[in-house]
Amino acid sequence: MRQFTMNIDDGLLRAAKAHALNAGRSVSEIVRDLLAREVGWATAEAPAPLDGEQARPVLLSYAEGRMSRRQAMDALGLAPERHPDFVEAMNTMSIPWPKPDSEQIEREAEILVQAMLEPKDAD
Amino acid sequence: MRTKIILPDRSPLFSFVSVSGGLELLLAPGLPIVLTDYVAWEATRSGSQTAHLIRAWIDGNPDIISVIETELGQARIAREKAGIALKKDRKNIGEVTIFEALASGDVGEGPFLFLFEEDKFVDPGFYGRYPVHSLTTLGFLVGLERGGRIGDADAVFADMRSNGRSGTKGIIVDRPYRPSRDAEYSLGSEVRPGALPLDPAGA
Repeated sequence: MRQFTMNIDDGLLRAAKAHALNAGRSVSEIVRDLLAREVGWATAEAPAPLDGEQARPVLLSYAEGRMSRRQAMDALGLAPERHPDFVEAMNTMSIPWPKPDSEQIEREAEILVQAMLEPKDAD
Repeated sequence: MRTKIILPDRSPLFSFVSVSGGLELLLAPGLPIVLTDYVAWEATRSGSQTAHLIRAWIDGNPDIISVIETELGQARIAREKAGIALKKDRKNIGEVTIFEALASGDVGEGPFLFLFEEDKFVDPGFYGRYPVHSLTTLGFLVGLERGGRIGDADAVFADMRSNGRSGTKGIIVDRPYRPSRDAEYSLGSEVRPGALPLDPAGA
C-alpha cells in the first residue's frame, strides 16, 4: 500500500478525526473506503501485495539472468496482467535489471533496420 | 514480400502501451503487424484502461494490423468466456495460435519478425520457406533509433521499465553501453534527442 498525501481544511480534518475515533476506525481507512466507492473499486478484489522478503531471491535470479521474467512472475504467483507490480517491485527494491547482451541487441536492431528499408510496394 | 511483425503474445503490447504514445512505436517501422485472435483477446479481455487503449489501437489501424482467427484461439476464448477454461492451460496459447495461423497460410508470406518481450528462441526452421527472426523489445527500440524513427531507445526502454510511474525513476535502470549508437545508420530524417515519433508510414 502506498502513502498518499492530500490537502484538507483544518476544521474538516479535526471533524474527520473525531468521527474516526467514534467509529473505531482510522481516517485513512475511511478515506480509502470513500475513494473505493467513488471509483467503483472493490477492495476485496485487490490482489495481494508482493511479500518483499519472499520476492527478493526470485527477483535477483531474474536480475542475474537465471530465469526469464515469465518464470519469475510465475514463481511469485503474478498473473501476466500484474506486470506493473513486477516492475514496481524491481524498482522499489532497487534490484538491477538484467543486462541485455549489447551485441545481440545490435544484431536485432540491424534486422529491423533492414526490414524498414524494404520497398513499400514489395507486397 | 515485406517483412511482417508477429506479436506471438501480449507482453510487448503491455510494455509499449505503458509509455505515452508507445503503441504508435509499433507502427513506426511501417511494417504489417500480425497477431491472432487469442493474443488480441488476452490483451483486451480485462476491460481495463490499458485494454481499451490496445483495442482502440487494433481497431484504429486495420490497414496495418491483422488479427487472424484461429481454431485454437476461438475454442479457448469460448471456454474462457464460459468460465470453464483452466488458468494453468493458458500458457503459450498465443504462440501456439500464431503457429497455427502460419502453418495454415493465413498470415501470408514472410519474412517474419517475432517480437518478444525478452530473449526467446524461434526455430528458424519451423516454417521453412521464409526467414524468421526474433526481436526483443529493446532490440526493436534500438532498431527504431537506428532508423531515425525515435531519438533515444534507452529513454523509452527506461520508461517502460519504470512504467512511467512517478517515484520509481532514478532507481537503478540498466542502460547497456552501446558503443555504436551514434554511428552510421540513418534512414534520412534528422533525429531530435528524445523525440518520439513519428510517421507510422515511415515517410
